Amino acid sequence: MLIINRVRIEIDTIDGKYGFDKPFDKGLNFIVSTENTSGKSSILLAIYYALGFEQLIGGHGSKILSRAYKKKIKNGDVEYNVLESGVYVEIFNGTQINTLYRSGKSESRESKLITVYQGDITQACTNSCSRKDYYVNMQNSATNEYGFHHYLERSLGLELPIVPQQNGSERKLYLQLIFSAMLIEQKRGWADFYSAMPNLGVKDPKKRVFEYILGLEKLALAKKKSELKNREANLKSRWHSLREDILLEAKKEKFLVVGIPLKPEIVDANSTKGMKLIYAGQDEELVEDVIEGFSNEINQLNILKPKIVDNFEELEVELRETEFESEKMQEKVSILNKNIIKEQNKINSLEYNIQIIDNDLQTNYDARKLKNLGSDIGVATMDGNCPLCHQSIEDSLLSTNASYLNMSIEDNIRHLKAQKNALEYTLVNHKNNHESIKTDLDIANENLSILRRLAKSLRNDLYKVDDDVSETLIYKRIELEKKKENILVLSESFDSKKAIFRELSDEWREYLNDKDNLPTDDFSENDKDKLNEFERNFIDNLEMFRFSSELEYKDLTISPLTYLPEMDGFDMKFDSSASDHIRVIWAFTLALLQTSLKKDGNHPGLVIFDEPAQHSIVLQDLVALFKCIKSISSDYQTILAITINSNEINEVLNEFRKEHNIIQLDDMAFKKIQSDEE
Amino acid sequence: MIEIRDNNDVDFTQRPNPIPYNYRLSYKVSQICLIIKLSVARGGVSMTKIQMLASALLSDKEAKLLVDLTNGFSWNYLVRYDPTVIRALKYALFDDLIIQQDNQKYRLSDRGKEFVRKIENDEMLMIREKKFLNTYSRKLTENVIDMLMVKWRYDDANNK
Repeated sequence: MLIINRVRIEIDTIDGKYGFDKPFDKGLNFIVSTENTSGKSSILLAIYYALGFEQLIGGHGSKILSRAYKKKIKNGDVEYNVLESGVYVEIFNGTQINTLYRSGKSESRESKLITVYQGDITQACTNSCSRKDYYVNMQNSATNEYGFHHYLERSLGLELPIVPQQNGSERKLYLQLIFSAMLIEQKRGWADFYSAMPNLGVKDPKKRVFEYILGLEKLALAKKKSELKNREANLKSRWHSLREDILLEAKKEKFLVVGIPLKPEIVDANSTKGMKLIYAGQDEELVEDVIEGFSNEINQLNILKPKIVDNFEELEVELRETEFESEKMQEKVSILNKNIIKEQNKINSLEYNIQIIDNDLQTNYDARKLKNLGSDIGVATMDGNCPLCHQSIEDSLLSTNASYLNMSIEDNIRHLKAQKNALEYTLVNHKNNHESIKTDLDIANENLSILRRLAKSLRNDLYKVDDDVSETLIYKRIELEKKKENILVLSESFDSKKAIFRELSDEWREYLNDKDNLPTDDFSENDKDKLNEFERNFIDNLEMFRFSSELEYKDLTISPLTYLPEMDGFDMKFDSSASDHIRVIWAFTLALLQTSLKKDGNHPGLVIFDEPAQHSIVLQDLVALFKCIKSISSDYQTILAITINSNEINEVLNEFRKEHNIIQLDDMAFKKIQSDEE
Repeated sequence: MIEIRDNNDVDFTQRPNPIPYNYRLSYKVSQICLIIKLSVARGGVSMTKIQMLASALLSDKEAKLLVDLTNGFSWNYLVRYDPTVIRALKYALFDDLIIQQDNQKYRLSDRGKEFVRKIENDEMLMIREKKFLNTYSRKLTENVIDMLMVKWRYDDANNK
């Protein structure tokens, strides 16, 4: 909540202090004068200025202040030079009273400084309370600890959202933008909705401000959506890599994996049973059966006496078979070797080419810089001109044929980058190929060496004395034990991975649930409710102000895309008269406040209208405006600056005088102040 | 790129050609200026020397030939007179970056010196070229080049 309690303007001249000092109330306030040039706007300027919102007027620093703050001030017929000036604004944030001081014209104080006193104006003027300096409208003044708007944001209890910028980064929403929706200034404010909004690089600022004031959840929703997307991608990639890992591990032991879905799914205890390791042989046995088979074989070998009896012929047959197998494996290895060499060559040549392109790119960057350096000192060739005849020439040393177009350095750099991308893409593919061939080759080599060792044992057995221990049997047993051990390890790792798949599946389930909880369109139920309420308030207000264009109020809608009023899908500006346009701005600005109050939005609770009676608004409508403002609950503040140009207005105001604060200005706003010491 | 329209006419769309950096006028002119500066020769730099150093910067292979020559390992060196270098020299000459002396050799003009100073001040600019030239453009003296040419005559005579 932001309430202006009191405004004090001090202007030092050789004749003494001049200025203005009046309290403001909660609720409705009027600043009235009989002539238009008596300084109502100067008083409002003081409020803008002390809050650091001068960008809403359209300028930086003290430039926006009127002549009375900076040059000369009139007292009757005498003009005095302004020596120093400054404004005090006492604000109330619902719990605490603070006073802001900012100097207008001063030799000693920067106008970028705003001093915050922990007390009211009287205490501030006598310096009897603690104070702290903040700076405003400089880099980071919205986020830095010593930035005034950062202070104001905390003090008002606003939590400004982080919003996307035009350049793609993200930043806090600026206070200036928010206040442009509620401080309607005399010159620019009546042109359009949020017409005083400065361009501070925020993307779609009008929408963001509307969403913030009404407290719509849309931005949070959009953030949540992108977060969900990240979660999905993360889960998918983890699932994928886990699946690849287990496939590779299984392949080494000649196993296939079945039952693991390609993409994340919800898996329960039943479907994890479907995940199986299958031996890639003819019978497709399960891993348990394979292990059992190995155990049985080992037992049988144990039963057999490791002696060579009369099995010479058997041994010979086995040897032949083993040699045949090993021949086949040899063939496979040599093919794989050929392939791997081919891939390696390709990778080498690609890497070489990429290196050349890198070099080319670097030199092209150099050439671009050189061209700039050269044209800095006026070298004609670097500017693309012939030094002799001053005709334009190409930046090329090849024989130039006029009908050929040559690439500029920029284009050339882009061209090279594209080439590099293509090459890098191919390189990745070849590297993947290389990797997979290498695993195949490792497996094949291992198998080959097993077969060869077996053959050797068999050969040794053939030439041994009959009573000797059979080397083949022992060798076979050791190999079998080793293999069994490996498969057991694989089986264990598979089981532990299954558990991880279960965990991933639980996360996936959570993700799906969160996704389903999000509304399908961009607005949550709450948001829709708020938009409807706003629309109703807006139309009610319009009706009260007698919006007169020949329109059906019922056709008016608030566009969910722009949050601006629309008539049959068109901006309603096109179909309304000038005075109607003023009514629309009244209605819109007040509807923001009404809706925010009712639906717990973030409106700071301050509205300023400078000269709301623009474009021949009739008195009756102006009264309607006053009544409408009056009807809104009193937890806010409105300041209206009005020129009294007829007796009727005066009579109306007299009615309000009993309950509301009316600051009557005579011919001049700034009067001589009796010094406190006197 | 070829687009085939309904009427079966074939249209050719002209696309700009890429230019290798070695054939960029701006690059070559700068390279020549840098060669002359880093040669630190009081009597100027001959065209042959410029050609040899420019060739050496073309590739690592070319560079190695020059390195072997300057280190005295091999006299097996052929000077390539690259017409694009000659063309770039002419542009640099008329652009008042270099001056041809009475002894036919080249030196930098004041403007050329300023230009090279700018190149030298930027540490990220022409790193490879500076590194190579700093060592070998001084080692490759005009004497070495003269001896190389004398050797050609003997070889020529031997062959006849």
